[in-house]
Amino acid sequence: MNARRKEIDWEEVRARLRQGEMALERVSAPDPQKVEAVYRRRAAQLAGRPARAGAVSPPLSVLAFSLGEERYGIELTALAEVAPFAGCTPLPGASPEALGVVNARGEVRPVVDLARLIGLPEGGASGHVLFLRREGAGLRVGRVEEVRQVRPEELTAPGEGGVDLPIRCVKGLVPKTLILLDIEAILEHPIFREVLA
Amino acid sequence: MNVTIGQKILIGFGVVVALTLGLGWYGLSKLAEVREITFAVVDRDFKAMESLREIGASRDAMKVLRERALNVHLLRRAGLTDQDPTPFQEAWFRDQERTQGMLAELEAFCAERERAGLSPQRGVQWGRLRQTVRETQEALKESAVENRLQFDLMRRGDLSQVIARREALERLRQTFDDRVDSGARLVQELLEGGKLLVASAHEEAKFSTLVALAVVVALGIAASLMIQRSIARPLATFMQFVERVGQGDLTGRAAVSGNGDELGRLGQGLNEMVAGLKEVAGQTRAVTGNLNSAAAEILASTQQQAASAAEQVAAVQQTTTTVEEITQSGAQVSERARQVATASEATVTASQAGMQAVRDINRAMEAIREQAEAVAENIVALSERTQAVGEIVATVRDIAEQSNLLALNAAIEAAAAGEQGRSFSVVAGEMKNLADQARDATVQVRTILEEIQRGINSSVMLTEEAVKRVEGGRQQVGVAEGTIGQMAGSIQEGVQTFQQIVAAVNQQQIGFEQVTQALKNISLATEQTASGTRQLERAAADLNALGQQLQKSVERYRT
Repeated sequence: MNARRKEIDWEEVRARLRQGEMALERVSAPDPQKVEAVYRRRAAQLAGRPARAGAVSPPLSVLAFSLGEERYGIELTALAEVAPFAGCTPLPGASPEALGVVNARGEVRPVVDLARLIGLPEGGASGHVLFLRREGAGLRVGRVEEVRQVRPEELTAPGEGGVDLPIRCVKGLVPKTLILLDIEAILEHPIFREVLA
Repeated sequence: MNVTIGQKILIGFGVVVALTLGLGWYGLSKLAEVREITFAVVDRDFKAMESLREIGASRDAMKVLRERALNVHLLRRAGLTDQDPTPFQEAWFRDQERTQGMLAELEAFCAERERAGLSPQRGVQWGRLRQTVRETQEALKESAVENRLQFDLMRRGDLSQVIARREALERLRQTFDDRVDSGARLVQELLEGGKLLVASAHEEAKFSTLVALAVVVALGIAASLMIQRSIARPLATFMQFVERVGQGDLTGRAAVSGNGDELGRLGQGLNEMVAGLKEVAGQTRAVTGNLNSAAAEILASTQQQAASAAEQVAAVQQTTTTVEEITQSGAQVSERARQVATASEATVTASQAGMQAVRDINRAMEAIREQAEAVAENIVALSERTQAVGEIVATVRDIAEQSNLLALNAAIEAAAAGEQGRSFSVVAGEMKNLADQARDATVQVRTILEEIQRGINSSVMLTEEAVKRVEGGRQQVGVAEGTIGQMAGSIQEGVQTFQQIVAAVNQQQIGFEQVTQALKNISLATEQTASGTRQLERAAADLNALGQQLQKSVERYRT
């Protein structure tokens, strides 16, 4: 047994156990200094907001999400809601881009696979659905990541970035590899006429 | 060709008898030939002779008739008689006719014999006889003419003329007689010739019969010689062989003739007999040799036995001494065995105490095992608690995820509200930050939980190992218990064994006294054996001498 190799010190074991219990108690009742630090940081963030409001041009709020290998973005103003994608009812006879319909709070809404729409290979099983404010259609995307503030002057024209996309769908490129999609152009696609008819 | 001797003898006798029969038949046929020739000669020659004699008689009768006719004429002339002479004349002519016929008959007979004579010489003789008969006929015819003339003269009475012509008639009659006589001589010659012919036929028959007899005798002798050769020569060989065998020479073999007759079988039988004799002689010789060597061995071993009997006496005395010594040492062995038994009893008591200690150890091990199992169960319960914590963490992560989405939707709403929603968008961003922090915390807690789970798993395995080792220790303790028990049992048996040894040694002492008595008896018997062995030695010497005599008598046969 282990005892034969190294004599166990039961006193030390008991001390270690007591320390563990005390640590657990500390976690249950947080340190007042730590709580204070969190509060201060949040207050600082809130206080900094008016300074940004006085900028030359208002920044665009963009929802960033992954699609295949790339990261894309859509302006928040174009969106109505974000929901986890949990499957949908397929529409018989529809184009392959149209995944089907889902029930969102009692309303039937069509869902289109954005990856196929812009000519990318089909995405994985998990992901999110972005419901558009206009028309109410849903776009199935990869994982939604964050909301970013993008300054319009930072955008690069599509031709300059060399992105391999239907050029009319791209509104511009943001530094740090974000492709901002033009939702108006996307809605021009005939599939929306088909699913919304 | 397999011809037995009996068949050979039968064939030889058959040949001789057949030759004899042929010889007899040949002699008889020659005799018949001679008889035929004799008959032919006698019949024919005598017939001719008879015929000639009758012709002579007839001529004499004719002469008498003519004389009487002449006399009658003369008497009539003298007137002394009136008798008529005519009947005499007529009778004469009748006789003449008859004689003529007889002559013609004789001539025909002669002509026939001339054609079919027994020999050419007789044919010639018969021809000459025929010629003579013909001449006789001529003479008779002339005589008839003359007589007819004279009878006419008589009738006319011219007697003188008749008498005058008597001369001529006499001459004719003389000629006739000559011819008849010469015919008789010829017949005589024929007879003589016939006798010669018969004699020569007889000679020929005699000669040829003698030649045939000689041939038959020669053939008979040859057959006898052949039979004698085929029987007597092999018999002589067999006799020589049998004489050699009688003298004791068994090396040769009888010449077996190839064909399977009695002699061949005799030869085979002799060979088998000699082979048997040879085998018997060889076996006898071998047996005699064996007998001699055996007799010599018996003699030698008897001498050895006599020597060893003396040794035995000495050995018996030594043995007696040794047995007495053994008796003394047996008493010592008995004493030692008693001591060992006492010591062994103490050992048995000690081993029982050892057994008790081992049983205590076993109970302690059992308690250790139970506690280790309790530890394992506690650890497993902890593991289940850990799983509950994991589930809670998963719930927290879900909540964080939903909070994140909620924050995003709030941001969307804020964006939709435009300038009025600007401060709300800040709150939404805070919510998103909190949700992200909560998610990161759940990731950390999950990592720690996995480490705890791994630690629990290794603890359970270590405890299991400990339980197994305790079990192994229990088994070894059980083995030790069994070993100590066996030891105690065998020591107990040893005590019993030593007690038995003591008893046996006591019995042995009694037995050794009996052995000492028996050895004295053996010593007595050994001396008797020594005297008997000397008698046996003499008998073996006699046997040896007898065997050598037998060998000499057997060596007479050479194999």
